[in-house]
Amino acid sequence: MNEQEIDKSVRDVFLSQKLPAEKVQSILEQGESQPGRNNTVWWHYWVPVAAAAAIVMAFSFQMGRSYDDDDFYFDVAGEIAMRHNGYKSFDVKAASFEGAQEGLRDLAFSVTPLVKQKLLSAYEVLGARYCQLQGQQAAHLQVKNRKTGTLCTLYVASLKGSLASLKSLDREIDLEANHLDIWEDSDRLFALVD
Amino acid sequence: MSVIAVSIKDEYSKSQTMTSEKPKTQRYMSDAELVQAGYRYALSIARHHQDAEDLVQQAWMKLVRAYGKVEGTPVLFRAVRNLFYDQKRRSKIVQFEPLESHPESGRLESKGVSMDMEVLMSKLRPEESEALFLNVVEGYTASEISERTGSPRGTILSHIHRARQKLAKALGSEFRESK
Repeated sequence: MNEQEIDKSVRDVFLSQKLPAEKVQSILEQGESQPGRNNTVWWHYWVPVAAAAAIVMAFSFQMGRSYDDDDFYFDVAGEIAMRHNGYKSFDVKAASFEGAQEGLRDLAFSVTPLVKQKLLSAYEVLGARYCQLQGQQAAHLQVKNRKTGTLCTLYVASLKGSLASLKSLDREIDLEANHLDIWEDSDRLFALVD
Repeated sequence: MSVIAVSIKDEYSKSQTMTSEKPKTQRYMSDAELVQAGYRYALSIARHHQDAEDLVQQAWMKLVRAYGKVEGTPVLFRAVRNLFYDQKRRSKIVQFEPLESHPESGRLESKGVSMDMEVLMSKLRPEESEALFLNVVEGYTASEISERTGSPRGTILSHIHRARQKLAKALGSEFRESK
C-alpha cells in the first residue's frame, strides 16, 4: 500500500464515524440550556480582580497624595517660620493693611484680609516687605499683638502655581519654636506666626 | 544520520504539500458539523466510542458555559484534548490494550484497502492516531499539529510515519512511501 491509499482509507474510516443525529441534537440542546449562556464572557472572571486592583491603586494613590500634601504643608510652614525668625529689615513702614499695600506697589495681589478679621483685629500692622514663598511672590507683614505686644508675622501669598494645592486650607501647625495659623482667603494664603 | 535527515525532510515536504488541501477549520461549519468533527477527533485520541462521545459532550458544555458558543474546531479540539488528558491523568479513561498483544483477536482479513475503525484503534497509540487524524483528515501540517499538541514537529512526523507503517502492516501490506 502506498501513502495515498492509506491516507484515503484513514480519511474514509474517520469520516464514516458519526454520532447519531439525536445525540448531536441532545448535546446542542444541553448547550442551549446552559445557565448564563451568552452572558458569561471571559473578562467576567477578571472583574473582581480588576476591581480589587483599582481599589488598592486608588487607596495607595490617596495615601501617597495625602502624605505629599502633609509634607508640603510643613515645607511651607517651615519656610514662613524661617522668615519670621529672620532679621531682614522691612521695606515700608505701615500702620494698616492699606498702608502696606500702598508701600508694596508691585504686589500682584491684595494683602487686605477678608476673613478672620476678628483674629487679625487683635494685631496692629507695623511694616511690610517683599518676600517669596516656594519661589512665588509673597508679602511679609510685621504685626504686633495689641494685647501682649509680641511681634508676629503675617504672610500673604497668591495661591497659584506650586501653592495651588493648599487651597481650602485652614489649619494650625505647631513647629518646634513657632505656632502658625494658615488659611485660605479668596485665592490667597494667609499665615500668622507667633 | 543522513538517511534520517532525508526521511524527515521528505516527510516535511509532504506535509507542506498537504497545506494545499484546506483544513476544514477554515470553512464555516454548523454546530452539528462541529460536534461531529469534535467527536471524530475525540475518537482519534480516546479510541473508544463511548469515551469519545462523553469527551465531546463535556468539551461542548464547557465551552458554551465559558464563552457562550463554540468558535470552531481548533478551540473544540483543544478542549477535548485537555479533558482527555485530565481524565487520563485521573485514570477515568481506561486505555484498551493493543490487539498486537492478543494475536488471536488481532486477525485482520485484509485484502487491499479494508481498514475499519477497530484496526485504527487497536493498532495505533493515541499520539499516533491523533497526529494521523489531524494531518490526514483535518489537513493540518506537522508544524500546526506541533503547535497545537506541544510536541516537537519531528515527533509529529515520526508519529505519522509510524502510524502509516503500522496500518499497512496490519492490513497485510508493505508500506511504500510516495516518491
